[in-house]
Amino acid sequence: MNLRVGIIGVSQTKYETNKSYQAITDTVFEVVQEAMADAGVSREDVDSIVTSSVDLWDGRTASNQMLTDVVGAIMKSESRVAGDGLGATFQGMMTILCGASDLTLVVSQCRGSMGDPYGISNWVFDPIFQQPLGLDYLSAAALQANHYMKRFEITQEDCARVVVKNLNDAQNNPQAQVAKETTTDDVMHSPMWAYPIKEMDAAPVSDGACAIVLASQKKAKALSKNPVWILGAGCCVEAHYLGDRDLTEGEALAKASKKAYEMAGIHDPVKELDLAEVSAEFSYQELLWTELMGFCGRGNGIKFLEQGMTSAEGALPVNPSGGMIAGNPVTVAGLTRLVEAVLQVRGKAEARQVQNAKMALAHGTTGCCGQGQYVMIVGN
Amino acid sequence: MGRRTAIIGTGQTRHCSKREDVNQMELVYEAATAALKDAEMTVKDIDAVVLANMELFEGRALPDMWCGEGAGAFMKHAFKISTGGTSGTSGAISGYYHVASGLFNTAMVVGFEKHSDGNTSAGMALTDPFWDRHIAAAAIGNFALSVSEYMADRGVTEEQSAKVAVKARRNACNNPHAHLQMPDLTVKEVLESPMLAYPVHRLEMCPQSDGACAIIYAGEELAKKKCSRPAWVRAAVTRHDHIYLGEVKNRLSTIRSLKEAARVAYKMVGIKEPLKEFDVAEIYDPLTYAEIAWYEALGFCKDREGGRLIDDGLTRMDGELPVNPSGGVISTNPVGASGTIRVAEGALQIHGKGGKRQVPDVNLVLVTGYGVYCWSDVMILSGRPD
Amino acid sequence: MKKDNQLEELLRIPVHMKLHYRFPAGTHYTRFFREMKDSGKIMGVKCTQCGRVLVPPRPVCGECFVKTGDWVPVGPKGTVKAYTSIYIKFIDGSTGKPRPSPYGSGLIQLDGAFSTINHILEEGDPEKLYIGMRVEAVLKEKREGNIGDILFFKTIT
Ligand SMILES: [Zn+2]
Repeated sequence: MNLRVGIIGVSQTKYETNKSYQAITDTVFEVVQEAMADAGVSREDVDSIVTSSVDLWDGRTASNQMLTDVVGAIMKSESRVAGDGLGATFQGMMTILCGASDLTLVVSQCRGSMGDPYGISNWVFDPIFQQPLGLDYLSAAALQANHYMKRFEITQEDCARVVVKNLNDAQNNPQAQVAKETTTDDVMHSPMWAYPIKEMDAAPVSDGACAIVLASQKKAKALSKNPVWILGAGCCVEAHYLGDRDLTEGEALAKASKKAYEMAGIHDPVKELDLAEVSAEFSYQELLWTELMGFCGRGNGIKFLEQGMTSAEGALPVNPSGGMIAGNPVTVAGLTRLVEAVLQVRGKAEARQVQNAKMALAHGTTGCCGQGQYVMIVGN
Repeated sequence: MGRRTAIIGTGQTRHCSKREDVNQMELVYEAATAALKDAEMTVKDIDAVVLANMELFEGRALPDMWCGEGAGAFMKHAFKISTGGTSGTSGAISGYYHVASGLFNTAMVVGFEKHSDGNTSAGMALTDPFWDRHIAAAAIGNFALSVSEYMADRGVTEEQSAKVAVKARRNACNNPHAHLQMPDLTVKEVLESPMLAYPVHRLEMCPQSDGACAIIYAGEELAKKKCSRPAWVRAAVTRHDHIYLGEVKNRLSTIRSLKEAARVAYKMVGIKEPLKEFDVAEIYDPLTYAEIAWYEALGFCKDREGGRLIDDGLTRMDGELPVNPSGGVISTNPVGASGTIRVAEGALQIHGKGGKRQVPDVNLVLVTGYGVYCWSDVMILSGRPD
Repeated sequence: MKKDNQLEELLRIPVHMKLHYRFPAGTHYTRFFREMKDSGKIMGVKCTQCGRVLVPPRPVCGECFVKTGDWVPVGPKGTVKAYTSIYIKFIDGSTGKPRPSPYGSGLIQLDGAFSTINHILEEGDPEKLYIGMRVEAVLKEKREGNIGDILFFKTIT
C-alpha cells in the first residue's frame, strides 16, 4: 500500500457472561464515545461508519438498524458487514483508501447471552446436507480437532496447555471474562462436550462490543501523535462443505496471512512480529492457526507452545490478552483481537504489555472451522 | 480520490416468485456465471467477491459461507454486506471500494434473495422486539401510513400512482429477466386490484421475487482492455436516517437520506439539472407512490410536481428521462438483489446491451437504493471516466 | 428452467426454525413499560440538546448524539398524523391470531411528544379516518408491562 490507513482510537467493553443489565444501544454508545474520545474526534469529524453483526445472533432483521442512533450514523454513511469485526475493518480500510472517507468508525457488538449460540451456528451450515445433521460450531470443531490431533499426535493434555496459558495470562487483562490460575488437570477434568473438546477447551458465551476509529494517512498524522498503521491485510474464504476440506489443512488462513505478510514486508513472522492476537474459539485451534500462519512447522504448534515461544515473554507471544478462551462475543472477536494488537503497539496494554511491541498481528475468523479467515498486521 | 473503476460485466437470473429448480447457492451461481460470460472473463480473473442478501428472510446465518462458492469466492477475499433494502446497492458500493482502493484489480458483487425458501413476512416482522412486533403490519402497513401523509402533503392522486404501476409493468415486458410483465395493464386494473392497506393496492406494491444479480468491477487499465464501453463509477454515496417510523415527519416527502446522498453525488459529478443531464435513472421504487416521491427528492422536478411528471410521460421510455426501463423494483424484487439490479441495469444501458429496453445514447445514469424507510444509496455511472 | 412436471419431481426439504431469545430491554424500555403497567402513564424522554420529546423513550438522541434527559408524561390523548386500514392478514403478536381485517393503523402524535408512534386505531374505515383526528390510548385492565398494554387508540371528539 502506498497510502496507509491509521488506527487512531480504540475501545472495548469488558466481556461478560451476561450484560442484560444494559440495553445493546447503551453498551454500543459507551464504546463508540470512548473510541472517539481516544481518537480526540467528535461525531462531526466522522465521515462513515461500518458495523458488523449478524441478524440471527441479534434475533432481529437488518439488526444494524438498531445501532443507527448510537453509532452516530444519522445523516452519515453506514454499511454493515454481516460477519466478523475484522471484515468490517476491511470495509472501513477500503472506504478510506478509495478516498470516500477520511475518518471511519468501525463498530461491532454481540450478545451471546441473548440466544443459544451453538443453536444459531447450526443455521450457518447449508440447509440441504449439513444443517439437518445437527452440525454446529462445537460438533464441527470436534471433528476438526480429532483429525488434527490424530494426524500430528497431539494429546488432549497438549490442548489443555493452551487453555492454561490463556486463562493465566487473562489475569493481566481487566476486560477478560474468564481469568484464573488454571492447571491442565482443571481442563482435563472439565465436562466433556464433544470429544475431545471439553468445557474449558471452548470459549465462553460472551457479551461485548468494540469500536475503533480509522483515519486516512493525512488525517491520522494530523490528529494523532502516534497512530498505529495497518501495514498488511489479507482475507480468504475456503470451501463450505466440511467434506470438501482437509480439516487439518487451512489454505484460507495460509493464503490470508501470506498476503498480509507480503503487504507488510514480513519474511519471518516469528522474528518480525512482536505478538499475535489470534481468534481461536477452541484450544486446538490456537495450535492449528499458529502453524498455518507460519509461526512454526506443521504439527509443531504444541512444541512451539511448550518451548514458551507463545508465552507472554516468549519470542512471539500469542494472545497475551487471554484470547477468545477468555471472552468470545461472536462477530466481535476479530475486532477485539485488533484492539488488543493496537493497545500493544501503542505500549498501553498495561499488565499484559509485551515489551517493545512494535508490530502485531490480529486474526479473525468467520464461519465454521476457520472457513473464512482475516489477518491484519499493525505497527507504528 | 481512488483509482478509476468501472463495471465491465453484469448478469441476472430469471426472476419469479418461486425458483424451485435451484437452491440459493445455485441461484448465485446462475447470476455470477452470466456476469462472467458478459465480461468475457473466468472465475480466475476475479480477485474479490462481495455478497449482498437479507439473510433472515431465508432464515440463514452467514449465508455467504455456503453461497459464496456459487459466486466463485472459493479461496478468495469475500464477505457479505447486509443493510436491509439497500443491501444490493451497499454491496455494489463495497465492490467499488474494493477496486477503487487499489487493493484488488477486479471484484464481483452478487446480490441474491430466495424469498420462497423462507418466510419473508416473518423476517420483516422481526423488527424492534419491544415495540413494532406487536403492531406493525410489516413493510406494507408502514408504507401505507407514509403514503397517507405524502398524499396529504403533496396532493398526489391515486391515478398518478397507478400510472407508475402501468409504466413499470409495461417496461418490464422489454426485460427478459423481469418478474411481473403486464403489457396490457391499465390504470383501472391497478386501482381495482385488491386493497392491501389503504390506499395501497396489490398492483402498486413490489412483489417478492426469487433471483440474483451480479456485477463485475475492474480498475481503469483492465476495464479499458476488457470492455469497449465501461460504465465508470463517478459517485457512490450512502446516507442513513432515523429508524423509528415516527421520528421523521412526512417520511416520503422528507426522505432526507436520499436528498442528502443525491446532493453529495450530484456535486461530485457537477449535476445541476438532473432531469436534463441524466439519460436514464434506475431508482429503487418499493411502491408506486415512492417513485413519485423520489422524483421530487432527486430534484427531477419541484416539490408537488412528481405527479405531473408521470402525467406528462416525462419518465416513460420515450420521455425526457426514462425511469426504470427495467420495470423497477415494483416489477422485480429479490430484496438483497434489488439494489444490485438497479446498478446492473444502469451499467447495461451504458454498455449498450439493454436490448429492447435500451435507451439511445446513454452516457450518464442515476442509480438509487432504499431500505427500511431510512437508508439511501446513490450511485452515478457514466460512459466517460471523468 | 425445468418443465413443470420435472419441477414436481424435485425434493423440498422442510426445515423448521425455533430459536429463543431474551432481549435486554435496558433502562429506558424497562421504565417505560413499568410506568405504564403500574400507573397507566405513557412516558417520553426529552433530549437535553434539541428538546425533542421522544417516544418510545431511548437512551440516546440520534440527531444530537447525546444522552437523553428528563422523563415527561405524554398523551394519553393524541393526534393522528398518518393512517391506513390494513386489509391483508396480519398475525397479532400479542394473541398469535390473525387480527380481524380491515383494521385501522396510525401514526399518533401523543400530546406533548415530538415523535409519533405506530399503533392500532379503533376506527378501521378509511373513509372515516383523517389526518388531524383526535384519539386517546385505551389501556388494558390487567397490564403486563409490554407494548400490548396499549390496546388501541379510540376516537374522541
Ligand atoms: Zn436531540
